[in-house]
Amino acid sequence: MSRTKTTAEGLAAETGAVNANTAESRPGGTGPGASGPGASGPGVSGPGVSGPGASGSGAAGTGASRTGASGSGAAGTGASRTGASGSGAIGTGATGTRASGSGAIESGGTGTGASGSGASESGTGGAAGGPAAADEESSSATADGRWAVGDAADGPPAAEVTRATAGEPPTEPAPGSEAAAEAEAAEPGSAATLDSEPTTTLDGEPAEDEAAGTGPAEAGATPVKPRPGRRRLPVLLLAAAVVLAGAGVWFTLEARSAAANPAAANLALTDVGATADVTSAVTLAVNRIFSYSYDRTDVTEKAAAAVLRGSAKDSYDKLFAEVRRKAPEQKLVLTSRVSASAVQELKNGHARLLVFLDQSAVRADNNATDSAAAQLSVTAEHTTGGWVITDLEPR
Amino acid sequence: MAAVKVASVVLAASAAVFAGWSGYSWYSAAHASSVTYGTARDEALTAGRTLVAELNTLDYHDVDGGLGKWLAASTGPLHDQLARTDETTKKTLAANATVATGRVLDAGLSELDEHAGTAKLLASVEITMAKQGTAPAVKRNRFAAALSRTPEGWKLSALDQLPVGAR
Repeated sequence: MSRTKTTAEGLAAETGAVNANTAESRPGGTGPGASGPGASGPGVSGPGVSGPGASGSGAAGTGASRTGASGSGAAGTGASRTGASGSGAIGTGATGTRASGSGAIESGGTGTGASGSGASESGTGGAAGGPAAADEESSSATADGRWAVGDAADGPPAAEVTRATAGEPPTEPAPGSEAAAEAEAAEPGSAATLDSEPTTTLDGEPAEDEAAGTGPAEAGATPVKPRPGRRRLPVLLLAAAVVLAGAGVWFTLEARSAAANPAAANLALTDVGATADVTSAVTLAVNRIFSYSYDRTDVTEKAAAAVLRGSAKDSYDKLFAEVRRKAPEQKLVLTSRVSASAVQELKNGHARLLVFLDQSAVRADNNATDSAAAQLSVTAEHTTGGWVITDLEPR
Repeated sequence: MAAVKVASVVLAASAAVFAGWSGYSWYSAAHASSVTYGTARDEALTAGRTLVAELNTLDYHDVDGGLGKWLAASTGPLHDQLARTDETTKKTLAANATVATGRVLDAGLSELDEHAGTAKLLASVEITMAKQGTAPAVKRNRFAAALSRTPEGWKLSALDQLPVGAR
């Protein structure tokens, strides 16, 4: 608490006065002090947070929320539109492209929502695919959506769609027939929509302008009697199966990318045991390799050989050669202690830590003492023998 | 015909099961604690780096504005303490004629309690003190910061310099 005060006052005070505890060089040649003067490095920017999983769910959420806001396309238009989008969805799902805001992908959600997962997802289609599809969902029952999807996937023109919707079993609820009527009434409009549909939807352009054309058709809707069409059931089921399978593939890919989220892959702090493990290993290692007594430098050297690898070993060896030369004549004893540490990254047996080191040096020949603070960025790898340090960088 | 019907029903049903299962696995993957906790950790770290740099930055030309930024970056006890900055201190800061710029060289979270919305951050900060007529002085400080999650995001509730023997 009082430290911040220190900061404020420090800024207020003379420039030089605040300088007491920096990691700058100190007299006495304390050897491999972790804090090399002038060893500034670029700041490490934090890992990105946004993941594909997030964007995926975002897309679904947006779709759902936009359901209500969708415009007034006729059912016929809606049916053909959904169909076209539905097949688009399959392709999209299979190729693994994630939600990019195109109508085709959103419609994949539509198919699933209509046939199983819940009506709310149908709105996804409406959100980006086009208001007509959404309108179809809102005006007719969920099952209708599915029927329409299958039929349109079959590839008939708008007129066919009308018949198919009308040809549902007699048990079909009123909205179904209403939808059929709407489709018929809207035929001119929906035919026009069909023509332009595949390009606009797949391009991901908003279809709002089309909705304006087909909109008025809804007003002229009148009930029409359903006609028998049970032969279509297998076809429709197969189409639904294809749509569902496509959705399943999409969901699986999303699940994988969510699991591969960099925030999740980094186990620092999230895996408490592993974090504590690497922290204690690095703390012990750093304490040992940066502490020595002028008459027993070989002990420190052995410890360093056990825990240092790669570039960390190279630079340490260079430093320590000097220590071996100078320490005996100065009768130098250096003690280092890790005062604080934070694991920044931990994945696949690879770790990066920020370590704060307190060092105190005593010269036995004249009893001069000195202390210093140091900051180290430590990179460690896990081997069969435990954690080894592969890089040491003053911070 | 009947066989085709049965086959299509089975296909559709199995596709529905697949879609349901994969949807669930997506949901659970996106809400796994390693994802949510890891995201909170990365957010706290990113915010903490910015805030620590801000609290080490002050331009004597605009002491009030700088203090305003400090207040906006802090919460709890640290905020209260900074809010008590009196006129004398402000005058001293302005009279000091120094532009201090903080830059976080390296930082890491040492603790995170996602439930409580608190975290502890270690940071190595390079502070450049520029005073007119003199060469800018660069120093490095170690800081331990406490972060608290507020409705406006992560804020600093404590910022302690760590000299030798602080712990």
